[in-house]
Amino acid sequence: MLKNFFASTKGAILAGLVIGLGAATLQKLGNPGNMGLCVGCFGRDVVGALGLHRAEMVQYARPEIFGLVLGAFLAAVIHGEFRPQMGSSPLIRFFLGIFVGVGALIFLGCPWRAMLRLAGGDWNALVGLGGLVVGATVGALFFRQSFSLGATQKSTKGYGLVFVLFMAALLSLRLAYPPIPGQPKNDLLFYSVQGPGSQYAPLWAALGFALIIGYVGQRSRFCSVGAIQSLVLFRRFHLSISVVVFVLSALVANLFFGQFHPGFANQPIAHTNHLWNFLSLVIVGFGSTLAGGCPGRQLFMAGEGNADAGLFVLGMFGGLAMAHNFGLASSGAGLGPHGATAGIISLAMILLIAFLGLRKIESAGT
Amino acid sequence: MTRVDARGLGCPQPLLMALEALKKEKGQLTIVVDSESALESIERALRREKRAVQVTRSGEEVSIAIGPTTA
Repeated sequence: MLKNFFASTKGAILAGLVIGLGAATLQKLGNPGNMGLCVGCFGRDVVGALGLHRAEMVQYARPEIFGLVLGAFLAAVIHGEFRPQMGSSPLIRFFLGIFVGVGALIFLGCPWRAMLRLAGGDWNALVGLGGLVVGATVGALFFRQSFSLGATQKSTKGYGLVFVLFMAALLSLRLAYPPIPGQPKNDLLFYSVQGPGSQYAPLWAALGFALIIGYVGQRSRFCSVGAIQSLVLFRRFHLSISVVVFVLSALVANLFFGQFHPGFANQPIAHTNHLWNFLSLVIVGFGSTLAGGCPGRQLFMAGEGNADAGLFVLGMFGGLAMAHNFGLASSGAGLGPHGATAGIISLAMILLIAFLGLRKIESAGT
Repeated sequence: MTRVDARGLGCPQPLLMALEALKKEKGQLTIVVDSESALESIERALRREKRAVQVTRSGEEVSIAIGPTTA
């Protein structure tokens, strides 16, 4: 079997280029500002389309989310890496997903979008990325102190396919029930008529780019918190190559497309509350590190047949829906009415999960 | 002779366990993983070590046999 090209340095650079240029192009083609690709925001739009929250501005069954999983699935099958597995503290992962979802909507973006916001000149992203580094580092330190969610068990091919089929089913709903111009709902799905949910790249471009990025992401193990963790924990920079190239290529593409607008104020779908821009991505970085990958990487792992990663994503969907149902999500105006409270609770709960997962203490006690 | 079983564990645990074992075990060391990403990260780390490495596959399981340190 051929060695994995994307595991090489050149492969890592190519992966960063594909994902960065793809994201910037999707924005050019119609996706919202500095949101060419965002697992948090697009997940939120998907649960909105299903009516799990009723924030009218952010409802759209984003083909990107489905395409990322399906692309990773195809890559895993083609390269013999489809490994159905589950059973590594699934409930804990589900809750980590919830807290990460809430954190992402306090910030207004997943780590990928934080980097795309930076590449678009939104300096608030620097504050957020500082938080992401702190969160991922704290998570990495817990791993060094024997934290573990335990090993997965092999499962059957059919069970490994469940999340992939779920994504394919949602994609078929999007295809069968397309938006009707000017209508907030068709027979089945909710569609924003204004706001970010109404801004989207054409269906086939969104799906096509997402499939390619899913493929490349699976092959290259592209992961924002993994990159930070490798640097901090192991002084290894391989994973950060693709992440740095991702930001730089998106920046160059943004300059080319006229999508670079430097500053703190008046950035698209962003607020300037520095404390919570920082803390919200501490939550996201810490929570996703404990779960073994950033939200985007969880989509790729779910495509590889890892049902626990699929459950993390479902938890995140729940967190994203709750964020809008209970006024936890931020907006351009600032924090939601209960954003700070939810943020503190999320941070405290992740910290508790981290302490309770320390194996040395556990084994010393028995 | 140490054997490290990192099967079924997510990132970063296989690499973390491998690096700890490399520090402690100067003789023969075997690390077993069942994910390609874990194998890749461990292989990258082993490039810095001057130890013989032999990778054997058996289905999804990959066994990485690492020879003693040649000081």
